[in-house]
Amino acid sequence: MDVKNQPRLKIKREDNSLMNKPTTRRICFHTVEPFLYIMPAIVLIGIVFFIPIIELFRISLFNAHTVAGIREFVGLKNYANLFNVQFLATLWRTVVYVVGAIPIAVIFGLFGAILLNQNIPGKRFLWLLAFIPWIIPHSISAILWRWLIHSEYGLLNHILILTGILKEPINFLSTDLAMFSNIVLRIWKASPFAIITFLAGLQAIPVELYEAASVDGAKPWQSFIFITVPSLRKIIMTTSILLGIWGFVTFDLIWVLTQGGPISATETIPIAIYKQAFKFYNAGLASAIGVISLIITLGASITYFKMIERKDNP
Amino acid sequence: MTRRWKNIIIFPLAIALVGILLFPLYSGFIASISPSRLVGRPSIFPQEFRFQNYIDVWSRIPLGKYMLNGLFYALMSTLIVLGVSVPASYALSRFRFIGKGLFMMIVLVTQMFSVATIIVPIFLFIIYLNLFDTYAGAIFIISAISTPLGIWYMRAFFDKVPPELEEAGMVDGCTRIQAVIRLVLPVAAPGLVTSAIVIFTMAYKQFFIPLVLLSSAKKYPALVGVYTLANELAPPWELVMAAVFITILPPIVLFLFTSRFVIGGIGAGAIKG
Repeated sequence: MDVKNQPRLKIKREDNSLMNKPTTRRICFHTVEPFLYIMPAIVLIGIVFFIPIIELFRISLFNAHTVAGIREFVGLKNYANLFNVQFLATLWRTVVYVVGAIPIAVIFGLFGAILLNQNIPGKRFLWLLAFIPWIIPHSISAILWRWLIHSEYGLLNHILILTGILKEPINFLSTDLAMFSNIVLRIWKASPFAIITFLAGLQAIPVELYEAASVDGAKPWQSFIFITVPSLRKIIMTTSILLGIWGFVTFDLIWVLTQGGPISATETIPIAIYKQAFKFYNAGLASAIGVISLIITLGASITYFKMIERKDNP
Repeated sequence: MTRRWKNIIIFPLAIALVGILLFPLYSGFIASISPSRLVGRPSIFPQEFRFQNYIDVWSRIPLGKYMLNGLFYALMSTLIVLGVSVPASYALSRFRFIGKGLFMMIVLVTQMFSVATIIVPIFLFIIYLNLFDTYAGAIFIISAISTPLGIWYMRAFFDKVPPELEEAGMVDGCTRIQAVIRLVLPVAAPGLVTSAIVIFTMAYKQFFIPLVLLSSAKKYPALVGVYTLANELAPPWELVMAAVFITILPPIVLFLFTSRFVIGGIGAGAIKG
């Protein structure tokens, strides 16, 4: 719960004198020893992350069928095929999905965290409850939402009609509203994560700061603007990027809620990869989309690490 | 003034916030205890309580088989991840070696990674190994993608165990491995159990990998099984929702065991949803 315990990228310099100054007899073994322990992990991560990434680039240059295998070298043709209206629309939808959901989840999370950080009865219990949406598997969350927003039987339509906001039930999964519903589901799923990270950040702000401010006559909103927001600035940035990356690569939530449809109204990049690979069996094109997705995620990840590495700038 | 103001406004707001977050669960729960004739007529409060749905669903779909599969995938993956990450995270905690920083960086980057991006090569690789539609294939990929998380968590626990512990053992004539097994692991055990629970939960929640790598329904884990029921043409929603609540029981119970750590661990940076 301490902001200083944020992920430490800078590797701590261990000072285990006994281990770092091996006797001459054991010097060889000492150099090799850590690699022996780490080797199984390197092999496993290598097989499932590194070789596939290289393969992804290679397959993207071929005309390849998902089941029948690689056929012929076509160079950058798959990428050329991507630059059509359809793919640009997919890219745009992915951006809409992330930009539509994440800022709201972060703002909602910030206010939720401030609210749950007050001295209220049963505070810890409320924290637990608020965190539950994050525990529920993505596919299950989407099933729960399919029921909640069901056009005929859903409780949401029922309540909206009871309160007079709607006259007739609406289909939240229609072409016009499907993306909106997906975004709301993402906000619901992401907010608890934002709440918990911000709660951790809030706990780390020294109470003395607020006391000093109130002695000096600061109003609560002034304390918020001049103490809370600056103290949380870094954690807000990192949480946003993290949620943004996760939003960008979301498959389960969108697939189970709308399967990318109706038609292709909610087809984001991961959905497009899946459809190309396992519906149209076009492994080459799917890999080309994968490469573009990989480049975007890696770029965002590097920004994230640059940000958390800057320790001196809270 | 402030105290009263807080009690009057803040507390109801906090309750409302939690209420909104839990509302989809509530709506699902009502359906799960409604008789099927009432499912088509939504109401805010349940009109009848029919817990029979929770029994019927086991015969409507092979839920027992799905649950066992899901728990089996998760258990096997956890064992593999532990076997691989305990030595790796120990080495990262205790040694300095060339490429250590790079390795930690890789471990972190893979946290952000989605398998969806590289699913084509992974799928082709599994076909190549003849592991398509096998338990082994799914377990292999699930454990591999959970390994970075395991290393990240367990390293933090090894960091908390003073190195003097095994140094003392080694001075007394143990080999390092003996010293670690006899002295370090017992001290680090609570942390290792917590990590194991987190990895188990994460493996249990996998949906995409089993969806792509399995084709026969009898090998489906719980999540994919419930998904196929919900995707029927006119799904029996009361049974779907009963299945949903049975399926999410393991992760919720495990979360309650580890909540203190997981909530703290989120603050410490790395967890995947």
